[in-house]
Amino acid sequence: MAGTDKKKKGRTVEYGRYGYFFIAPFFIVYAIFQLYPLINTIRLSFCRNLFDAFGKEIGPDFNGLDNYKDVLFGTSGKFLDTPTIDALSNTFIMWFLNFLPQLLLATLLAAWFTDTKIKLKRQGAYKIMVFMPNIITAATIAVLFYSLFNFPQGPINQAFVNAGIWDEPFNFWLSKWAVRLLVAFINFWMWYGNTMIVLVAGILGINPSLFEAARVDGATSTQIFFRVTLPLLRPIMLFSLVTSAIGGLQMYDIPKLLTQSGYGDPDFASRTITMYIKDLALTGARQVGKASAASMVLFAVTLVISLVLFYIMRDKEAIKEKKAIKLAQKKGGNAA
Amino acid sequence: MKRFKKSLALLLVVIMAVSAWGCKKDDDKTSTDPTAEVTESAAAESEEPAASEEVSTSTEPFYIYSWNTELEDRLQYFKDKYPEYTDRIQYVNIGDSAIYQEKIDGLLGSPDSAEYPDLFALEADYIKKYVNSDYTLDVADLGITADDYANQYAYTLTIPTNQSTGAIQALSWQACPGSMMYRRSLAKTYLGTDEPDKVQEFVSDWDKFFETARTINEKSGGATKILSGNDDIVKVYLATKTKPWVDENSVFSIDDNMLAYFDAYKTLEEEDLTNKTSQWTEQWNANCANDSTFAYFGCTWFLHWTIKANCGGEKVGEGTYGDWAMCQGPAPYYWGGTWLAATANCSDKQLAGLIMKTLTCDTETMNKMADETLDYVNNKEAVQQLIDAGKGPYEFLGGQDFLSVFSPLAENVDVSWMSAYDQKINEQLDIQVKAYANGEKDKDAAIADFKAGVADMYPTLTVE
Repeated sequence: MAGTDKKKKGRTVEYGRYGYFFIAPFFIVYAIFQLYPLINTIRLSFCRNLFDAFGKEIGPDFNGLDNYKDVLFGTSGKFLDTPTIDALSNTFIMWFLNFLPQLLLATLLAAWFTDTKIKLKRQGAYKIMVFMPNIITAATIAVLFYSLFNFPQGPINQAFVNAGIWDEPFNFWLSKWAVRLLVAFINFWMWYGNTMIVLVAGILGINPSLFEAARVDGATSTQIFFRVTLPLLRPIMLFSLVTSAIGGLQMYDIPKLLTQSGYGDPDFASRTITMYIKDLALTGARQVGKASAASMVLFAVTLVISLVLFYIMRDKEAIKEKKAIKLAQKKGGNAA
Repeated sequence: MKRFKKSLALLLVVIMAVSAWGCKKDDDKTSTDPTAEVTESAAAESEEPAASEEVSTSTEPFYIYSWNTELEDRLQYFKDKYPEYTDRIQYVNIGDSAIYQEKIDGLLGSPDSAEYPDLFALEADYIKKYVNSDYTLDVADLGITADDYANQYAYTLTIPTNQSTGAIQALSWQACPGSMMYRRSLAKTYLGTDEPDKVQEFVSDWDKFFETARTINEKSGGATKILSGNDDIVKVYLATKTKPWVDENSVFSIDDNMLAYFDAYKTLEEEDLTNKTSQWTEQWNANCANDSTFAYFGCTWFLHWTIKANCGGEKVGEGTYGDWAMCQGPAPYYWGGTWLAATANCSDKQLAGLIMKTLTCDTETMNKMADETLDYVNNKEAVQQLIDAGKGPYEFLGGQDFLSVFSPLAENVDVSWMSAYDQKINEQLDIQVKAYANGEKDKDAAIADFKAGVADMYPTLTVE
């Protein structure tokens, strides 16, 4: 009796198992190419592992928190006065300079494209034009901007000098803020179309009867935007903020290719944290341990920023409601 | 039972797949009898010089790595001489010198890989890193003797010498002594002469060089500058170092001449003595064809493939063709050059030796190479034959004999200042020199940042 029961049980479960087989490839690939490197990075960040000038590997030997000390305090011993932190702050500056205008413009465009009152014509064409820079590879755009802002005879310099606005050509590549702004601008220009599409999708997901109701009640477009669209767009906003923050902190291709030396000219002003990690791990003494520690710092910063964003963008009303329900339940319980 | 059948089927499939894969590998790797190969290479090792003449019977692909097509073109000379190897040679062009080292480092670290390089090309900037390691073989192990490379220029042998064992681990087919290449017509206008010997007097040391730079700038009213960009002087200054960046005790120190370089660069920038273009940019190249630039510091290949290619003409009268001449400039230096090295796990040392010998030691082949490609070959005998044959006088240089100019320069190149760390350190130097010249920081801060940058890149060094 018991035996047949078991068999029956086994047979019913068997079919469900195929599902696992189908999703197995993802998990196998993930484990090999993501999970293992991730764990190994954490391990290596506590190890001394580099190569000497003769190509001999040193380590990996466990050396405790030395890499973190090196990354956070450097040789001078001053807290946060290290190339890692410099690179991180460069990244943050360039991300902030690109993201703020990007979000503003994308939201504005998304509002226009979805406004039922304006009913913009030829929307498809506009959307394609706005999205277009995102299709071109970053390498091409970097090279394009490099020639555009070339010194002394790039098109921009020539145009301004010929127009008599400048007396002599300006060397953009030797000015810290010019390069940072250029990097920020390229990222802004490449990604605002993408953000706009995401926001348009978000707005279209809002129940149109809400807009109609607002309009019937006599709300202006501005009022509708700030009182109806924006609050309901919050989850999508959060999504694009978090993805952009993670993507922005990993900024690599544009600053790497835009400057001639590839080290974030001038004087490392546009060197991002990922460029620095790559330089540490793959060039010079190939300091894998230190690069891992720098990666962990990047991970920690990303985590903190994401959590802060989640906290700021949390749905306060919903939390209040939940609390109220809980309170009510408690009270009800007490009363009973 | 059903499940058992299924697992059995799966097991069979796996076994079949594995064996099929195994067979494929066999086809690739050991189609010739492995024992025969072993005895052959053993024989090769016992009778060394004669060995390279023997025909190797291996049919395995022989991988040669480089970052552009230059070596591929040179290999044609080998293939012409030994057509029987043509099919075996697999030339891999990485295509980008910026990622070449990373790629090669990865391959050298996995000797079992099917695409493991047998021979690979090395550039002067980083060659020390490889010839000081066990990743490359002593050329003596390839059957190449000192007699074979007796005709090579001394400096091309000093560079690929392993600093710990003294073994030569790479050979080059070209010598790249540097000179100053100037415009004859501009020299006549601003210096009163276009004779190489007399122009040399105007630039024989750095003080005179800067004086001449100011003269040219003033006389031309700023229309002509002595150089196209500030960066142009760095190769020459680096060659004037009296000691390497890093000495044998792994101590990093800055040479006095390099401290002078900080100021020299700033002088060029502040007094507007150059056109301030960056090297290899369009504008920098274009200045070869106009009167804005008096001179370039260039070497053998630079003459043919940079200045001549950008001079805006192909025969006398067109562009600046024929309006150039060469003199040594403020200091002897060399620029670039490509070496060939065999890897530690090279699959066919005989063939590696034969290729290196043919391309870098064989006077006849090198004579032909120099004649056809205009490359300045690393073979004194071949160069002398070319000079004797009257191949030196060059229309592009207004009839000046370029071989006779380069020949003594090549003999004088001193490379005792090279170290395995040069490329990265020079890059750090470049960044700080620029920051200093643009007034972003003072010299002390720039030097301190330079040292910090080096220490950050190479934690094993003692930075003074």
